[in-house]
Parts: sequence; C-alpha cells; structure tokens
Amino acid sequence: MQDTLVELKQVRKEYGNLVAIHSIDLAIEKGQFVVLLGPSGSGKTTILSVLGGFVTPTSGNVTIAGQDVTFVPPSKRPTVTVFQDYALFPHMDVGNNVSFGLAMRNVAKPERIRRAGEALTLVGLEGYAKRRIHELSGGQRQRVALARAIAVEPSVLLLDEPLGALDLNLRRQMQEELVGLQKQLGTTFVHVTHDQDEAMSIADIIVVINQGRIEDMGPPEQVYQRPTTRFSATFMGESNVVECGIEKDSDNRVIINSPLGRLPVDAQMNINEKAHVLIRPECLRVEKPACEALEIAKIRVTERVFQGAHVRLRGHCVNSPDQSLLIRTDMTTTLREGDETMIYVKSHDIVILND
Amino acid sequence: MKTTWWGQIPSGIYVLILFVFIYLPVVVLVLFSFQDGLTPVPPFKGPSLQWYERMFENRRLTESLFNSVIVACVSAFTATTLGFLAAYTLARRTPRFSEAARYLLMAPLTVSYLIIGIGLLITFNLLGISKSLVVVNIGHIIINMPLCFAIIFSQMGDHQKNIERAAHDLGASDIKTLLLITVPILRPALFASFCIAATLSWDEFIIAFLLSRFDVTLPVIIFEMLRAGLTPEVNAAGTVVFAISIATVLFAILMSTRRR
Repeated sequence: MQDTLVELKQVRKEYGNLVAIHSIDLAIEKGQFVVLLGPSGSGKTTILSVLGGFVTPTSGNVTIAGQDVTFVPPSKRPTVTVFQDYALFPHMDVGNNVSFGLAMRNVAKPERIRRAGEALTLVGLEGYAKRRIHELSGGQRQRVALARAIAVEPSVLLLDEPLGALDLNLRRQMQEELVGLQKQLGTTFVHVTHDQDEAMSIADIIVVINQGRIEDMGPPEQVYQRPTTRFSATFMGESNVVECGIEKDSDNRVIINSPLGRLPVDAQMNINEKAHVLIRPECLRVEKPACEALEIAKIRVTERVFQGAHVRLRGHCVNSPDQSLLIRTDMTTTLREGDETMIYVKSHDIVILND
Repeated sequence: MKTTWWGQIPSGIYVLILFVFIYLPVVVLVLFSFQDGLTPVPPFKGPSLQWYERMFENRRLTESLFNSVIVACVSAFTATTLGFLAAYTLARRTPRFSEAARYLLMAPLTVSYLIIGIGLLITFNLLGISKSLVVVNIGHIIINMPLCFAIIFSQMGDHQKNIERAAHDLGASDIKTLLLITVPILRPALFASFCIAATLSWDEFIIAFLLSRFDVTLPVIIFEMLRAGLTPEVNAAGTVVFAISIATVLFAILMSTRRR
C-alpha cells in the first residue's frame, strides 16, 4: 500500500551560514507512526517545524495530502503539533483548552463540549474538563496537550519530544498509550525523539537524522539489525564496529579482512573498497552455537558488568590486543575477568556498512 | 552567630529613623488637614472635618478631581494599550532594528517632565492646537508609554511564544490569538502597567500645569490654592490625592497576589 500522505522534496533550511537541513527527501505514508530520531542539534525538530509550518524552508517543497503547503501558515494546515513544553493555555480550564481548536473552526458549543469530552476520554482524562491547568501533574498536562491536538482531528499529528519531561516509568506508560491511540485513531503520527529505545518501541518507521541529513530509514528491526551507515549503527544501541578491507575468494564470494580475521559474508561488494563491519553485542557467542557459525577471535575478558537480564562482557582479542569487543551474554555465564574464550558469530549477523 | 535582642537595637533605630524620614511629611500633611484652625501649622488644635467640608463645597476643586480621574484613566489605558502593542511587536515579530527601537521607546524615561512639557507646549502652539485636557492627556500618554512598554516587555517571556504558536496551530488568526491568548496571559502585567500609569498621571503636575487652561487637574488646583496662601484646605486636598494613590497601589497589589 503506497499511500503517501506527507512528502518533503529537496527541503533545505539555512540559518545564515548554518545549514540546519541539507536538501532532504522524505515520504510518509498514511496511518504510519514515524519517529524522527537523532541527537540534539541534528535538525530533527527543524524538520518537524517545517512540517508544522512554523519554519519556511529555504528551498524545496512540502506536500500534505496532495496539496503543496510549503508557504501555508500553521493555522491552515491539516497538522497539529504537540509541543515539548505542552504550551497549554494557563488561563483556561482543561475543557476550554481541548475545545479551543474546535471553537476556532466555529463548531457549535454543544458539539464542542461533546467532542472535547471524547478526546479527554481517549487520553484517559474523563471528567477533567473543569480542572485548572495548574492543578494537573506533568503526565496529565501531557494528556491534555494530546487531547487538544486530536480534538481537531488533524491528518498528521506532530509530536516534538513530548515525553522528554516525564520520569522513566511514566514515559514507558505514555509510549504504550501513544501507540494505542495512534492505532485506534489511524492518524499519521510524526514523533521527534533522541531516545533510541523510545523510537524502537513506538515506531512503525524510524528515520535516523544526523547533521541535517537522513542517515537511515526503515522499520525498527531493519534499522537496528541492518543499519546502512556507521552513524545509525552506533546511534541505535550498543555495537562493535570494526574497520575492514574487502577481498574475494576463488568462488567470487566476498571476504572481509578485519582485525577479527577473514570472514566470508553474503554481500555485493567490490574488491579493495574500504568498509566497516557491525556486529551487535548480542550476536557474539561465547559458546559454539548448534548451527553453523564462524570462529572470529579468541578474547581475554577485561570487564564484566551484571545488568539484570544479561551480562555485558568487554574483551580484547588475544592476537590483536588493540581490538576490543562488547559481548552481551546470558546471566548464567561463568566467565570472569582474565578468562580467555573463543568468540563465534553467525555469518548473517555480520553487517557491512558503507563508508 | 546568634544575635541577642539588644544587638538588634541599632538596626531597629535605623529602620525607625528611615521610616520617620519617609513618612513624616505625609503624616504632617494628613494630620493638619484635620486642623481646627486657620493655618496648618503647629500646634495641632484638635480634630475637625471643616476643611474637608469646605473642599467638597469648592466647585472648582471637585471638578478638577473629576478631571484628574478621567485623565488618569484615559491616559493610563491608552499608554498601556500602546505599550502593549509595541512590546508585542518587538518581542514576537522581532522586526529589523528592534533593539534600537526598544531603546528609543524607553529613552523618554530619562527626560525630565519639564522638558517634555515645554516641548509639547511649543509643538502644540506651532500646530495651532490650544491648551486643554485632551492635550494634557496626550502629554501623560507620552510620559507613561515608555514605562508601560518596559513593564509589559519584561513580562513577554519566551515560554509564552509556544503557547501563542499552539493557538495559531489550532486555527486561531493573529487577532484572535492576541485577544484570546496573549492578553489574558499578560493580564497581571497589563493591570500593573495601568495602575502605575494611572497613579503617575494622577500625581503629575508640571505637564498638566503647562498644557491646561480652563479645565485643570487636581494638582494644578492645589498649586493655585497654595499661591493664595497656606490653609488646611490644601492639606485636605493633598490627603485626598494621597489616599487615592495609595488605594490604587494597594488594589493593584491585592489583585496581583490574589491570583497566585
């Protein structure tokens, strides 16, 4: 189903000499939960502001539902933004906050009250209409901001790090609720965050952004397991990234030549190209797996950290002591600092990153 | 370090002297407005309300009291409105040269009322506009607008920016955002600005004296009465001026603390 709702074409934004966004192309399908993920200063919030109409791009076009909205002000766009600081109207009660957008659309008062009530019920704040904003907790304000946005039934809901100010447990809970809400409404959500765990747990599509460019894009599994660039590999969770050279054997199979040894992989690469390989810490095994696996190196364990559900080991290769590896193994491991062990990996768990 | 009660005596005396210094003139003024005699000088000859009676029978004085109230309210309202619009534009729209505009707007605060008054007198003369209460109003707007601007500008925090953006985002036009969001949020600042401008206008003498002719404000009448000679009636009028100023300020403080 190719049903593109939002499209950025060659969108570029400069602030003086500073380039916030480098001519990006981005297509968002209808009904998707898209997460723009990147470190602070990467330009992800600028992209969201371009979508919301608060920032006019220096060049390029923004299309929403087939209509060019590049120069359309926020009030005339089918988008609504949930701001990081919620931006609730402090002088109005919860009900008037939620129905504000409907009032601006000249919806009659009884209808307004009914729809505001529905929106509040959706976010779990039934019966809060008469409360004052300053009486609410942070999580409740967050919900009011959400209710206010969904009350006007936008085609795209933009969320600017809305969970940043909440504590960890509440954030987890709100993540689940956001996903539930999005599935229930079917509205396209575009959510900005710098938290890769949050991105992986809520997104249908993750867009990794770094220095004003899109580094990687795809479903969370793909972006985590098969990242295309070094940045997205290291930004999405822990990783072992090793520089390597590319060779081919007599059967024309690609062999990567790295400090971890010569490893055959299934990939289309040209000889003499420089590349990096990525192996996730949980893909490294300290025991030979039942199925076919490659021996990569013998390591000496230099650090052992208990992390609850698993144990994180850091080891250095016995043959090339400069090369360190991160291994995530289950908590039953008997390996201690100073122990030596052989490390195995399945061939398809080795990911080649283009430089 | 523990301070004993006698250790606090010097600072207590200092505070006492300070307050006597500030409030003695006012106390004397108020006290001798109740003088039972012809001159407001010691000794105090027992309380009497005769001078207040005289004052309220004085048509010219009661008319000027009414004039003063009108001028204070109209000029304070106009100065607050203009100050708000200027502050809003400079804080939210950040036009070119906004920094320079900000300093230019606040610079008149440093110019003495006498200079502004003479300038206005000459200007209105040149334009062929005769002296009147309307002209006094304009003078008071000119002296109070910079202060109103400064008060309101200082309260236009960036955190309100997102609130206004949110209103736009939900479909509100510029004018609706201004009236439904910006003004209500700034209400304490607007109210404070109005009260301060009204008090300053209410007390203002030089500009009112220079720019008015037949209809005058209360401070001008008091000055005229002073020239005729010192009587407790002047004290009574001064007490009324003072009481209304204090009442306005107290009201402003009460309103701003009640909302928290």
